[in-house]
Amino acid sequence: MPIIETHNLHKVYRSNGAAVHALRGVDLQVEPGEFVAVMGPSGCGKSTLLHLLAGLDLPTEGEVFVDGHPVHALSESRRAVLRRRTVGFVFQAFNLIPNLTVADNVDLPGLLAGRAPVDVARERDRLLERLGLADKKTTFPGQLSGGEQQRVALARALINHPTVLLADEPTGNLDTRSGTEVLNLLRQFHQEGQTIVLVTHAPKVASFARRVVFMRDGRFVSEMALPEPGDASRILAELLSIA
Amino acid sequence: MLTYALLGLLAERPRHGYDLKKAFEAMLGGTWQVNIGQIYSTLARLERDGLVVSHKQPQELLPDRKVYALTDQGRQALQTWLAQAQIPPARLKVDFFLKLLLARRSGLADGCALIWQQRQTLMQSIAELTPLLQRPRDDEHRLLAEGLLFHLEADLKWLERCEEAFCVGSKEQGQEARSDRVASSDPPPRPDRHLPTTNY
Ligand SMILES: Nc1ncnc2c1ncn2[C@@H]1O[C@H](COP(=O)(O)OP(=O)(O)OP(=O)(O)O)[C@@H](O)[C@H]1O
Ligand SMILES: [Mg+2]
Repeated sequence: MPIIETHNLHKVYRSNGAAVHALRGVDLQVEPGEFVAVMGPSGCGKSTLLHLLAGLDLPTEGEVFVDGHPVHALSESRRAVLRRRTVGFVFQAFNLIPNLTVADNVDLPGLLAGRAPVDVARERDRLLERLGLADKKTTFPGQLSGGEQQRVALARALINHPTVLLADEPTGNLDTRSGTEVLNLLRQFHQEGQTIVLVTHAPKVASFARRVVFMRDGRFVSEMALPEPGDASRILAELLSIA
Repeated sequence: MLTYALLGLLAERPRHGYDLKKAFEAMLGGTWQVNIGQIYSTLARLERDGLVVSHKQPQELLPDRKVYALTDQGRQALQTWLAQAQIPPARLKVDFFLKLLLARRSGLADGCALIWQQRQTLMQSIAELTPLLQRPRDDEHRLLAEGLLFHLEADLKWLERCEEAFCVGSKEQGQEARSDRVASSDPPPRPDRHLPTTNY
């Protein structure tokens, strides 16, 4: 059974009289363990879609099921629970809480979910270690580089073992090197079974996924599977001989 | 091209033909195989033109082999070539564009489908190249991959324009404002506006 399923998803924003049709009938299915990228130009509706998947907003029409929950039909408080337990979210702008330490930022969703503090702390230490942030526990977000902040955000998103990890331009504010680092981490978590949906306008970023869905003007227009990362010499040869 | 590659490799040190073949191939990550015959014919021409000289090197048990070295004249030719700016090649995908135009005129194929298919092909290449970005920043093959990636990204961007022009549909409300935005080349992604500061 798909872990994410949307049917005919529409979203119309109304801002001072004008209607913006941000989604025009999106059908998305994501199987457990998939790493899917939704790629499309600015304004095509990627963030809108991700927000509907996370229950941060409600569709104007259509249905969203995440891990069997009908997100479109849940109350705000039930959606808040869903966001805590079922989805992890990574934003372009990191969105860490500036006056909490790294450890406290990561712990917060765990504690809010009602888990035992010792469990949360153990999990957090494991994640921070894994993400190369073991020595940053007592640091505040403002003292970290962008790449480090995004890795903290990743730890925070994963602390409750979410069924799906949603990432909105997670490398949009990062230089190439830290961006690649974050994408490699996503790939590693995917290889360990984490389901991931990433949205981006950048082909290189999307290329880390195993399936890419192309979006335009609020619709999906085509999709493809991507190869397992392998030997690049074939493609170098091919492109060089054309060039 | 091969001519100057051989001159360049000989500027490093004198080499024999097979050594040149191996060095050339290694330089491009094994992506270009050259025929040894082509190496020897190029060397012969260079020697005739006075850009390289050869001398016989005796080998135990094996026949003598020719070792080639750069002459002053060869060094000068290489220097001149290196100093020349490269004329930018027009890399627009003419064949593809022709298909697109003819699909529209003949009505025998869906231009929009061609665009999507082309995009998938480019994405496939990008996905195959990105592993090279893991290599150290001064790695020569990584640099090569980065160059190719920039081209592929530009091609993808252009396909977005083609898509606008060729793919009908979604011309409903809100389109006018949008097309301006897409047309202005690569707007940076806007930071999310309507988000809570935390995700829980
Ligand atoms: N809260 C809102 N109120 C009004 N219009 C909105 C709102 N959020 C998004 N939109 C509009 O909906 C459309 C889709 O926006 P969305 O943010 O989903 O695009 P996106 O694909 O994420 O773009 P980007 O790559 O720039 O982040 C745009 O036209 C945008 O202006
Ligand atoms: Mg967005």
